[in-house]
Amino acid sequence: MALSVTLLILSGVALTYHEQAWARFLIWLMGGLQGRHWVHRTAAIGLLVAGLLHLLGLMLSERHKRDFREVKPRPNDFRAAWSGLKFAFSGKGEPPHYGWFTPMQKLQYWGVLIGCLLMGVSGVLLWNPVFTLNSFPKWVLDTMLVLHATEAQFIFVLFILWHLYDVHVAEGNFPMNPAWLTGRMSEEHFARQHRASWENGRSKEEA
Amino acid sequence: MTRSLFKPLALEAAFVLLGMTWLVTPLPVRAQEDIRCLTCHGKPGFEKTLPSGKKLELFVDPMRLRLSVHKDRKCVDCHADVTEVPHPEIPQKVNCGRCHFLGNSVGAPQLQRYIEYGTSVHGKALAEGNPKAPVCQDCHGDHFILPGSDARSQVNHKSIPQTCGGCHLEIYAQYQESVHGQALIKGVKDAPVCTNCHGEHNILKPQDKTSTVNPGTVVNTCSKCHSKVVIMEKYGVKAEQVATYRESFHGIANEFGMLKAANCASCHTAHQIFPEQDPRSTVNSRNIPLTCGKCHPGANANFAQGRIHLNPKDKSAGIVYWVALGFKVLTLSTLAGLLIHIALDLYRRFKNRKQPGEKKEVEVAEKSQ
Repeated sequence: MALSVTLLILSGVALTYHEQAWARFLIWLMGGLQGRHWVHRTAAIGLLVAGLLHLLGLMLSERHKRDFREVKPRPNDFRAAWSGLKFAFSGKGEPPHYGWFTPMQKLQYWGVLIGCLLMGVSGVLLWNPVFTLNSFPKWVLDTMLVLHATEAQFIFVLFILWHLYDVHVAEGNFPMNPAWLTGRMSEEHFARQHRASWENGRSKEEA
Repeated sequence: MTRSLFKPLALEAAFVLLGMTWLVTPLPVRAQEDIRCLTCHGKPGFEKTLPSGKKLELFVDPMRLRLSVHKDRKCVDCHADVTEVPHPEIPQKVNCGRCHFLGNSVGAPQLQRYIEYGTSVHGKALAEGNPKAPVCQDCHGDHFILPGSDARSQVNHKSIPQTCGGCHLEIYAQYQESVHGQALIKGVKDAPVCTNCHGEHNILKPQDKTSTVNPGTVVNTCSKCHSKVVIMEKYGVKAEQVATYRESFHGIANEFGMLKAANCASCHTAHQIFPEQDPRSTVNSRNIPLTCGKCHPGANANFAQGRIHLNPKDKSAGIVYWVALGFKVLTLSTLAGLLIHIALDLYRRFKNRKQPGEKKEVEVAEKSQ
């Protein structure tokens, strides 16, 4: 998924900013415009497969099912997010006690899911212009094009400033949170970021 | 031995000197020579029937020659092979290159164009021995050559299509019907004629990469007028059509040398350009499926549902504009929010560093329920 998204972003921005020298260099690296198309489409299929595997996991694996139950949004998330914001601004009191997933992580998960869905649908429609123009009025294709391009810029901003900062630079994660490779995290990290679940687990262990 | 070598040389030198005195002979005397030619050629109706039965008009109006750019030239300056009057043979076709070459000393304009003609499609045809290849006088005329700026000139802006149409009959007919041709007929000075798109002396085949009407260059050629707001607003045509094309998939592909991608002429044609509302137009909604279908097999009538040159930055683009704007606002506000988040986070860490807390490093296996 990381590889697909990186390739998609690189080959995508190269097209959006095609008049820039760096974009021309990227396109040249990918073997011209035709090469860029195939890099983008191959990476897109890669992401699609990753998404399907995720869906398959949700249906088959118990662990995935448990995680999915945890990631469902709850009214409590808004309260937790609000107290988190209050803490971030005031610095008073204690950091809020988040569950298995922090509200930020929940938002990220659903954002990525909806984002992938939108990019996927618009991407497939753009890939098959004859089908799209034969089936819908032209504004659908035009909307898909700006949606695809502008949402990509949005994802790019999130990717750099939120995701990369969060997992590489943010406290305790420098130079990298190894969880994305090992699937594990330190107890200290877990205790700090997922206090409620940590306490829950503690009480179970003690019992 | 030296004498025998010098003798013929001296003879030649004498001939050359004799020739030069002929060049500096005062005009009245030379004009008298014209009078000798005009004895026959000055008579209206002087003509000859060729063996093919075609009548060749041999009358030359001396007044027209005197009004042309060659008013100081005399007949034999160009018809150099006529040495005696009456001439027993039909003189050769005049070779303008006798004077019109770069570096000439007789005052003919010093233009790169003489060389350009040689490499053009017309010049090459001539070099290959094509008897129909046009030479200078086919476009510029013979005895009544005038500068292009002169309204009476064959190469004046408004007369160019007719001049080129002398050979290119079919295209001339198509052009005259088109929006450009009709504008020219109405006296529109901005209306493009053949040479505005194809060049003049340097006309190349469209297949030639350096031709102004090659798929790789034709966008720039049309843009010379169509990207200029000052020109386009006079005729109610949008100048942004060029920019919207360049930002489209077709435009970007064309820019990167994928020449199978549509350029201006792919949809609008080269010579049969009509306004969108005209049923003859290839971009009329009735003809859109056929036009798009040239490259996109299977295109149906639904292709015509919507505007082609759409500017997403313009409110008239409707939903496209609002989606673009919505994401712009979302992206910018998120950008600001995340920057604040990072700033706060770094600030908190900086403060915490001052009072280091207890640290405990315990690796635990992944939590399981």
